[in-house]
Amino acid sequence: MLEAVPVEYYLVLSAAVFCIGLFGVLTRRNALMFLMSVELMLNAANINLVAFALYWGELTGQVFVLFTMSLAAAEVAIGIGIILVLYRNYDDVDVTDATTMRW
Amino acid sequence: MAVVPYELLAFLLFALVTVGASLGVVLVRDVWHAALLLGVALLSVAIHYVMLRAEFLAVMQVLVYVGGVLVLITFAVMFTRRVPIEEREGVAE
Amino acid sequence: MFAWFFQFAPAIAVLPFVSFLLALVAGRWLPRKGALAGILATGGSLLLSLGVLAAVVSGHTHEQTLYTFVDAQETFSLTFGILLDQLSAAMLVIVSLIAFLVHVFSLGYMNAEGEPGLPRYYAGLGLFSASMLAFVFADNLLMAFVFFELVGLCSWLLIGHWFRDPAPASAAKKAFLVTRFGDYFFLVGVVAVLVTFGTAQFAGADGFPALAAEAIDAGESFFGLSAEAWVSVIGLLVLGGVIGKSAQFPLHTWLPDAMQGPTPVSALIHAATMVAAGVYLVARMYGFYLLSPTVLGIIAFVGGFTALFAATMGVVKNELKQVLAYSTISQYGYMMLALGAGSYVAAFFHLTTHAIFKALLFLGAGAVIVAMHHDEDMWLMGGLREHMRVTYLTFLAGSLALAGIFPFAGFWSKDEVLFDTLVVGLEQPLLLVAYLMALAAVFVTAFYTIRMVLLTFHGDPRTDVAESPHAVGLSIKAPLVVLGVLAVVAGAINLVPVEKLTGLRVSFLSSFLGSDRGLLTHNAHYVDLRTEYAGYETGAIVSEPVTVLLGVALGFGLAIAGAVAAFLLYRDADPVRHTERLGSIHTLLVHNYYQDEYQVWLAEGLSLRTARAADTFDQGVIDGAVNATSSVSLLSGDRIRRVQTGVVTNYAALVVLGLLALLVGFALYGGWF
Repeated sequence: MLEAVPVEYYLVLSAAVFCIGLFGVLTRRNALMFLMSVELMLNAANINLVAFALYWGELTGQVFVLFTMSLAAAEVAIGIGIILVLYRNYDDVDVTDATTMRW
Repeated sequence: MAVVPYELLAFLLFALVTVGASLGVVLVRDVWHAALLLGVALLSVAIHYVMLRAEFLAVMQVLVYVGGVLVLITFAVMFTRRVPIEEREGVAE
Repeated sequence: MFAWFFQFAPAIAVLPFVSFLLALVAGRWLPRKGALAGILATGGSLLLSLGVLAAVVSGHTHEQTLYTFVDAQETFSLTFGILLDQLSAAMLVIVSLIAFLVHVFSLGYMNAEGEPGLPRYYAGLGLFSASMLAFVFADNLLMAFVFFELVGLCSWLLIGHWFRDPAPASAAKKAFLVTRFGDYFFLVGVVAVLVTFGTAQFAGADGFPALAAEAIDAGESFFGLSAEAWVSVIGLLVLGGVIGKSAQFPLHTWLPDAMQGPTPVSALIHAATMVAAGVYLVARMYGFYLLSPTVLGIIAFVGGFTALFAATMGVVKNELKQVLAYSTISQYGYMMLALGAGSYVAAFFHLTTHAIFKALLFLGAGAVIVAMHHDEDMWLMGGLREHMRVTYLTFLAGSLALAGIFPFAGFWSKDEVLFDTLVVGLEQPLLLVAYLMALAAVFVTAFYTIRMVLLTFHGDPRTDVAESPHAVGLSIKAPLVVLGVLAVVAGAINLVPVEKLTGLRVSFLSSFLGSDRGLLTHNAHYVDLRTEYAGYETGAIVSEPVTVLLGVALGFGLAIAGAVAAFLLYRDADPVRHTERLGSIHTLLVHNYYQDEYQVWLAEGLSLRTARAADTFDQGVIDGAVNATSSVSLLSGDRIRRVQTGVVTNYAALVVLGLLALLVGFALYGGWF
């Protein structure tokens, strides 16, 4: 029962979701897509943590996931603010537009 | 004897949903569709949590992610929606 | 019975300082613009100095630390104090007397002429007198240095009194810079004395001359040099300041230019204060110089050379004050010669008589200049004796004293200098050379002195001004008379030749300076040191009386010869410019042996070029390196910043790549593959 699903399966799932998120970050130019991809990556990490929490029989991983969730919520709130400002200034949410602060 | 590994089958099923929804998030053109697919992905992750005996986390996942984060993203999508000019004019009329 | 004067001794310098402050702050409202305050102050100083001298004559001395401005525990303390022994007491009288007379004279010279800036002038005079007096009674080398510098500052202020004219302003700068050049070495010498001996006191068994003698006896070594060599080094360093201030070759060039200042100031500078300071300093620390025969030889040689060198330039000068200027340099050469020959008494004797007759000559020249409406060229004068009896007679007395004619003051002192040098020179060939140069200078001195007198006062008036000169007042005549009488009789204080020939005890100055007062600054001690450390021996031609007579005959004969030669050449009613017949030598002398030229070349050609080269090096190489560093940084920064695209995606990709690289690195390192 405990080992019905080997932990490696979850790791593979987590890695897959993480890579998908990373792919999204690297390929999309829409800031909102960035935000969503980051959420995917965070969730991949969470799956990882929860899987290991079960595997080791420790709750630390789950507690960590709680923190990650609150972090993600906060991050999204801030991110929304940034995106709205970006939209107001450039009339778009394309991240490649906002390059005026480089030099 | 051959016991049917229900749990494994469930995992594979939901893993498929998760990966598929995630791929959908990053691949679809429309942001609004992407947001909806993100909701699907997050919910499927909550199911994984249940299977990993983290029921509380699953509840939290639904509450915080689907109920909070996703709503925020939806807001953002709606605020930054690029409406074609002719369509906007049509609304104005 | 006079010892109570000692407690007022600081007032000798404080009184003129108060007059300086008064003239500076309230000179505009003071009667006579500060002249009266100055006269009163220096008069008070003179009275106190006479009291101090009386106390010292009656057998007392005084040494006291007045103020300690750095009280060190481990090393040496720095103090101000007063030392009143025979030398300083006598010098105080000379300085305050001349300062007093110059103040009185200024009343007629400056005030009567309606000069502007009188408060400034009297403030300068007051500070000048105060610093010189404080320098004289200084009990340690550091205090002496401080007031030595103040004297230099005052000379700058006073020579440049008419600073709106370019010539006095530049002369003042030159005087300051040239003496400062010498003082630089003096300062190093002061530090060296303090570091070596831990004290800068002049007198007593704790003084640095006594300590230096002990160190030589003990065979110590300082900084890798033997004590003798180190004493010589310090002596030479201090001598730098002496040569600058006393206008000895090669730092004499400032003095003739200093004639641009008001004439009373010239009298003060040349007779008793600034120039005398150098010679006085050597006399003050004479116990130290006697330890080093090398330095003594240098002093003697420089002195003898300067005496002749400056005298020859005096022959061709046409301005009254220029002649006197070169005679000053020459006469201080005699004093240096005497000091170098180990003759402390003769040097101080000549300093005394010279102070009197040179002050007299300058003040007399001032009177002539007033009479001539500030024209100084002797060729525009002539026949002035008819109109200015007092000035003529006193000036003549001073001139005869300068020329060394019997029985005027200068004869006795110059004869003693020459005699003392001769007897030492008979055993020391180098000193004999110096003696011969000084002897030749006697002839030249007599020649230019008599030439000056004849051109100024004799013959027919050569201009309208000379025919009806401006009358001079009592405040000009009175100092002249006082000094004129002194110039005749001052030689009586030390009639050494008379004593040597007849056995009468008439060398008062010698016995005064020679008596032991326990401070190790008396002449008897110096004679011991001279024999013991400098190794000077005295010789005689046949016997001492014969040598004395021979010396007198040589000195006096040459003086008479010079005077007669000048008289024969310039006695005409309308004299000819004989010196121009000297041809190229005349040109050389008129240009002062091109001393100024080479010094200007040193300053402009060498120093300035070196400075320019250093500046170029600084701007080009040093700054260039700094600028190159910054340009490289700027350029590379400009290139490298292009890496920043501003596109978030790129950054994210870079982060991922970096992470992957780390992973691969760890994997390889950890041996996963």
